[in-house]
Amino acid sequence: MSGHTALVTGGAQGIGAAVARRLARRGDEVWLADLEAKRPAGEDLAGSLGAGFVAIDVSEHSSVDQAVKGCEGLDVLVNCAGVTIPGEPVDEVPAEHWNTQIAVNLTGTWLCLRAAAGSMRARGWGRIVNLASGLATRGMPGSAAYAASKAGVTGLTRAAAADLAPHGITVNGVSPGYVDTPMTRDFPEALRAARLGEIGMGRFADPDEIAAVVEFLSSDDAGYVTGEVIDVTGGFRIC
Amino acid sequence: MSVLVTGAGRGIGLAVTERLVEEGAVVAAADLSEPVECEGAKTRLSGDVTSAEDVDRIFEDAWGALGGLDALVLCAGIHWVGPTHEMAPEDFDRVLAVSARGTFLCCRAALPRMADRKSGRILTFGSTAAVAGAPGLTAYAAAKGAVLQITRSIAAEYAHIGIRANCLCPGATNTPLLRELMADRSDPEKFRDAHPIGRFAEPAEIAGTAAWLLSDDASYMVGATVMCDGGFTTV
Repeated sequence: MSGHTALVTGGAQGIGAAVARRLARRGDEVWLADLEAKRPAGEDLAGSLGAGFVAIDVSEHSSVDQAVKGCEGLDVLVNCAGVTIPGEPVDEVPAEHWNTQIAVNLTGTWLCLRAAAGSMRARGWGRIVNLASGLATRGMPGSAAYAASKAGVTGLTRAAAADLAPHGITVNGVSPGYVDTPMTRDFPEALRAARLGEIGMGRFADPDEIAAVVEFLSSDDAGYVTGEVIDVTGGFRIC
Repeated sequence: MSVLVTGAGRGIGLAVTERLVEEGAVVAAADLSEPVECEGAKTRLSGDVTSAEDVDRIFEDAWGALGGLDALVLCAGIHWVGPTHEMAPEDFDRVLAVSARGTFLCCRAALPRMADRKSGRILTFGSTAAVAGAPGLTAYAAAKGAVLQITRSIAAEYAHIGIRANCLCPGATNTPLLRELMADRSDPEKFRDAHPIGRFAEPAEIAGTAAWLLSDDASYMVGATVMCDGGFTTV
């Protein structure tokens, strides 16, 4: 048993679920947090992992505080909750869509970090890992709000690392490239071939390969790694 | 896993060797001349990574002793410290030769062997000096910047045949090299305090990150630059 207590937001599916599986396997007491609407899937997964499920809306201050309060001894926080509304050119993004993506991806990450930092400070040990994105640094059409939110996560990660390092808390980010998900599996063949041609390894990541990097960053071995946002891209656009 | 580690005689290279042995790897530990202390290494080799002949011999001996080569870890490096205008051209050349030419020669020897097996891991060692200015360490910074770009280029060139190359950039680490550098400074505390974490790294902490980058858990990491610097380059 690792003896850690971990909260994974966005834990009911995708990368969040893969992270929850990894942390449960290493012996963490894991809490999956996701929207109330995701409760059935979240509780199913939690049940299979011996984990707990807690409803959360990361964009709501009170919801975050309540969820975090229920996770006694929290010392690992993984912020996977995120939303993307792709395909909207920058001058056509409805304000509501802009606000939603910033509220969930950026403000949500900060609210969770803020709520969790207290118990980590008290223990003098903590690991916070935020999901960033390759889109934070590479311009892609139709991704303005998402890219802005994830670039914000990168800046937040670095500043939070500087604030919390003296308290034994590391804060890092993981920046995935393309991941094999239902969304990328539905890419039109031409788009899929174009994206694969930009990846050195010639394939999309398995969600577990992203989770593996999160697991490392939340381990004792990564104690001197802080303020970093690690690219996990299979060599995207370096080839 | 069979691994060749260069610069294995002391400091980070020694810590990486010890960690890999502890995890069950079969390691060939190479260094310029000093006997490699790590008892667990399968074989100990000596040679100069700036010499193509020495590098070829080291790889032949390592291949023979290990029965293959799954991974290459390049820790060999030297520095020259002082005002840039006082650095002799041959000092600059020597620092570049060990890191840049040495990394190239070792990769050149490893890549065909790994390509034949369609599998391999190369871990190079950069530094915070590869991405940030390093007063008094101009040659070292240039050499580590070169290592970073060699790594990225190799990663892009060979990823499609199953070879993963990544660059680990440690911050100031509590090694004999750092202790020498700090002894010459009037304000070592000021440098230490520039690290948000408030201390220098221990070699074992760098080795932990290296072991992870060499593991299957890093299977989608290609051409990545991983800083292990206690937050030094984030502020």
